[in-house]
Amino acid sequence: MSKQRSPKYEDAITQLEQIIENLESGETGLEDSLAEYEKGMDLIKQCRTILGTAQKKIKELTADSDGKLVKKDTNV
Amino acid sequence: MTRLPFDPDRLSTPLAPDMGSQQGNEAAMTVSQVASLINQAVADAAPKKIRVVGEVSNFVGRDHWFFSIKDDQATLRCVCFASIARQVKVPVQDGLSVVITGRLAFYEVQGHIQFYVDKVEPVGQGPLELQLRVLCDQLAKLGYFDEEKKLSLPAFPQCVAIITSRSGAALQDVIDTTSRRWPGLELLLYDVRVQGDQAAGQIADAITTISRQATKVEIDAIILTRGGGSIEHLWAFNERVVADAIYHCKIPIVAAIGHQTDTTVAELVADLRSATPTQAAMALVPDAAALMMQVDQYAQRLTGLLSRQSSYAQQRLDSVRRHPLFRRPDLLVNSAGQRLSDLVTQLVRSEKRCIQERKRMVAALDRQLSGVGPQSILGRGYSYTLDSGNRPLRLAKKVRKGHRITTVLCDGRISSIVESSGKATLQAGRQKQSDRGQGDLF
Repeated sequence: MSKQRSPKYEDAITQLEQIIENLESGETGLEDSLAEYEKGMDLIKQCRTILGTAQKKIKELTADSDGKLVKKDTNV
Repeated sequence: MTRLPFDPDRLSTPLAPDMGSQQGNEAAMTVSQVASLINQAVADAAPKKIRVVGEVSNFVGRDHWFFSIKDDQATLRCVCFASIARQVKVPVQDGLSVVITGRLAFYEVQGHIQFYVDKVEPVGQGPLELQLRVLCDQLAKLGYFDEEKKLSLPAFPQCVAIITSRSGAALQDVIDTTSRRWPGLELLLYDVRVQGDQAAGQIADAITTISRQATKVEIDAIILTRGGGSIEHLWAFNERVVADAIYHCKIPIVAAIGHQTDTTVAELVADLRSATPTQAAMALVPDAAALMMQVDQYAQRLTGLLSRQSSYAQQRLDSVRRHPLFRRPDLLVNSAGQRLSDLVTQLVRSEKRCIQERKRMVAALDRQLSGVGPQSILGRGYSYTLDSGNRPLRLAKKVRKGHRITTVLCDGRISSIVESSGKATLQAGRQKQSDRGQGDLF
């Protein structure tokens, strides 16, 4: 498939948790903390975007004559 | 048949086969003829299809099965050919009570009547339940139900395939649940028959096809489901082919087949069993609303952390700025100046003390020296004479008339010119004493 897969929620939330853990450790300098904070806020935005994605319509999956899976619209 | 009397004379004559009807006996039959007769008799006497109940014994079989079926009074030999044996779902073994269906026939080669089995059924248990038990036993031995072989479900699936009938209520339950909890999910329906002869094959094909292309099509997991029904209706989910497909599937499968009280093989093999289609969907997809709250909390924590760190940094800065070094730098300079001044004062005072001490020492020495010096002796009335070269004059004979000499007294000098010189004549002893005193003087 040529479509680029959207960023994964799991990746974003994991990175965010890591950033919070780093900052909570108190071992990050102020400049690094600022950079981490900006990165964290970007990830929060990403997570909110993923969670707020509009409902997708169900599609039907069929195998063509070669056994290759094909997605098509359905009226279910 | 009566035995003939022994006649040795007849020994030389070869015996002719007794094929005739001597003494009125009937013609002998071949074994095959007799076997054929028996076979015919059995065929005529026994019904074409017989059901026999009994206990299996002497079971031997790999492809073809050979065993006996017996009760407490009789035994019957049985044979079940491989083509039939493969269809038997009952675990036939010694001691098992079964109902066998088939026909009786005479087996000419070994000369006994045996039962040719067409069907084997267990006694006292429905065939489907027994088949299910047998399949479960087999699959358990193969490790199909082992927990450690089960795949873990994705925490945040993006695309899920649902294998079910498009006309079933289960599909709608899954759609409703996933769209409510995880609206961004891409749900793909793979429509299959969920009951009937073709169902198992279609279900297994669907699972296998999706598994093969799951990475390419980016499918994270499968929901296999159908609504409730009788065991016959759900039977496709108990077929071995479906169990195999689930077991070999490369992505996790959540199965919810029938009602909560039904348990199918498919559910046992699946990575997670759910009681209903709704629960299957809930198990697979997270709740976006709850996650949104979590993200909000993370945002608060993140902001709070940075705020605390900034505040701490500000406090440190303030603390440094409040330090006297930065607030009154002149104090530092003054302090150094003061110290320098103190040191100078101390140094001067110390130097003065040192000089006075030295002066006291010199005065003391002077006093000491004055006590033993020539001045002190001169004070007592003595004097000494210097020649014209200012050298002490020790002997009178060293001067002549007209020499200039200098006499030193305690308060000054007297210059004289010698008129005469010579030895002293008076009181030589006293003179000697006097000279000695002068000698001590210098």
